[in-house]
Amino acid sequence: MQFVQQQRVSSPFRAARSGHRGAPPRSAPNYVRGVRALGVALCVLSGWSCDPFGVRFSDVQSAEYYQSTTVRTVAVPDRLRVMTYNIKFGGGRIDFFFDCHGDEVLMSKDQVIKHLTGLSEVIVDYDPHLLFLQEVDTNSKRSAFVNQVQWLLDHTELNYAYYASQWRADFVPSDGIGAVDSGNAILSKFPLDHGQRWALPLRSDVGGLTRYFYLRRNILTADVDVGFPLRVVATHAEAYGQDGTKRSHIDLFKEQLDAAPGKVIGGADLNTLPPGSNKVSDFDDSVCTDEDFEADDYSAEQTWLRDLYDDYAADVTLAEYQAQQSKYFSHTTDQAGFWNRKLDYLFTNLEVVEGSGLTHQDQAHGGIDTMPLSDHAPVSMEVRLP
Amino acid sequence: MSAKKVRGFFASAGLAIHLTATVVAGATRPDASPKAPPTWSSRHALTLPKNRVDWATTTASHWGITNRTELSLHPVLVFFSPRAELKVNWWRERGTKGGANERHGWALSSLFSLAYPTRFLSVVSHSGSLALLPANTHVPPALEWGTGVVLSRYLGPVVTSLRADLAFAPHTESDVPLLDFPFLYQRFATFYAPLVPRLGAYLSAEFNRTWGLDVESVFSYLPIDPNFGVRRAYAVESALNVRATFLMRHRIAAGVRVSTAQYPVGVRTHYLPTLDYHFLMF
Repeated sequence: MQFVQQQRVSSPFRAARSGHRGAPPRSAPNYVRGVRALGVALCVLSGWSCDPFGVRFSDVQSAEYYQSTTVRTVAVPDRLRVMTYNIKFGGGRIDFFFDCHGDEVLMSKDQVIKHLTGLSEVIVDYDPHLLFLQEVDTNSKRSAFVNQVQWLLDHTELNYAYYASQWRADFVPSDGIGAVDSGNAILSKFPLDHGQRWALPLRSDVGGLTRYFYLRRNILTADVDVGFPLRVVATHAEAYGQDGTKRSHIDLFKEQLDAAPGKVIGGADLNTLPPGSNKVSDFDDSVCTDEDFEADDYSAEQTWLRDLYDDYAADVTLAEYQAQQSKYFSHTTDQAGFWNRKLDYLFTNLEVVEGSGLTHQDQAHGGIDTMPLSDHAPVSMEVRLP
Repeated sequence: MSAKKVRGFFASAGLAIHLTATVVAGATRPDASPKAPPTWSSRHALTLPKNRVDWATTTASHWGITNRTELSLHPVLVFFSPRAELKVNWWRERGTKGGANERHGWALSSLFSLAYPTRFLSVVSHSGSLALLPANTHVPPALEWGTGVVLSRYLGPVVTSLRADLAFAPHTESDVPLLDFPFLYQRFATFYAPLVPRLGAYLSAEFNRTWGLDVESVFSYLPIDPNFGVRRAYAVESALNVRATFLMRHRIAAGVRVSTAQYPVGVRTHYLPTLDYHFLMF
């Protein structure tokens, strides 16, 4: 009734005002004013809707903090064991559609827990003080919404973690992927602080809709309390594209290492090969034919890691790698084959214990066959604390 | 003939029927008295007069089968997401028999709906863009049954209603992944839950012969199988529409839908701008 009363009151008021001026009202007709109001309303709504699936991040923002349900106090050792592991969101060796080896999209919770159990056995076996993870899911439909950061904290000796999402959407309307939240994490036995997520440039060589839902890669930084300020830096560089995005990700990763106020350790899947690699293209396991998503040819990237190797110690020196390359290969998409390229790295300005660098490929190298657990093998090293 | 061609044929046929009917309607519509605005379809208890058709473009169209029975379905989307609803008016106070905007009193109607969610779930199961479910999804046949009541209070240019619904869609055991796309989530929840109860409140107001407003809010309880990663899910979907009627029988409605729901990823709110064109036949 309120509407009616207002109408009855306002109409005579308008008539009286018109009469006073001695001319008909000059205001726009009702429908024109209504259309204008609708336009304003739609503009406001479109503003609300500019990120309807919640995919965007700030350039710099705090990372998500995690803590194990049971925190175990650990004394700072003389040597720090460090590991980096791209765990493929707990997908094991299921043939997913994006690998072009199969058509699977979603896993059951049982499958995810089984794979995480295998991953935790590798982690517990090496018992790292610091663990860099790539492709770890925290809230994704494809991994049955298992929070893998929390699960790994609760099933290893690691106590604290920071997580930075690199792919987050309430719903990805493609291939039945649905909700996804996946990214990088740093797990530690020692307290972590100042976790920051630094946004990396987006690919520019894909269409607008693909770009909206595409991975928003980042660098994750945090400080570890080991009795002195130790900065840790993690990233997962772009895998596809020829637009220079991958190069910029690698350069920005190095810039973060350079910007550390003191000692620093970086762990990353850089999606490129070390300088001097013998094989740089035409890998047997690359079966994707969509050129936008091919990661098979590194021939133009052979010097991209040169500065990192020049300025930092790595899990394996370039000389060691070039002398025996297959021993350090950490990736293959073909579970029936064997590791055929090195994409995963650890860099530091601390002293690396000689001969401690290890790529956990199988029982002969690391003690556990890691091929069934992910399309990457974990890489580890020991560093001496000052 | 491939499934894609069949879909294309039905889409073309549906569009052709829609357009033809619209043209025929324009040629045969009765003269409308400027003093008595015609009755449009609504969410409220009263039905369209016998033989009147309210054609809509993005929402369901309505047909007055008798003066107390109204059928609604979308003439094109019915091929992708078959759904029909029957509204039967059982009781109305004498004061509700006046012309539109002049009705006063209570009215009560029942609703019965039938849908075939299998069709839509299969259509959105493919690879590539706009695939809401994986390509290897096998959707079993399922019929969704819905029943409800709507009680309306007519106050001249203002109408308020309360509506209660129950829906269920029995089917054989399936491993169809949860369709958790915003707005579709609550509409297809019956496929994943034994029973979905809904409670809605509606308000319509006429400002004058041109402008009107519809507001609604529907709460759905979604007891989805916990194996899908969500417990005690719910959805609250609200809509605000401003509509303009012109030349007596044409109407444009624009507004926004807001959905807040408990998904496996947590509670999320989404907005959907809406636009619809209606045309009244007979």
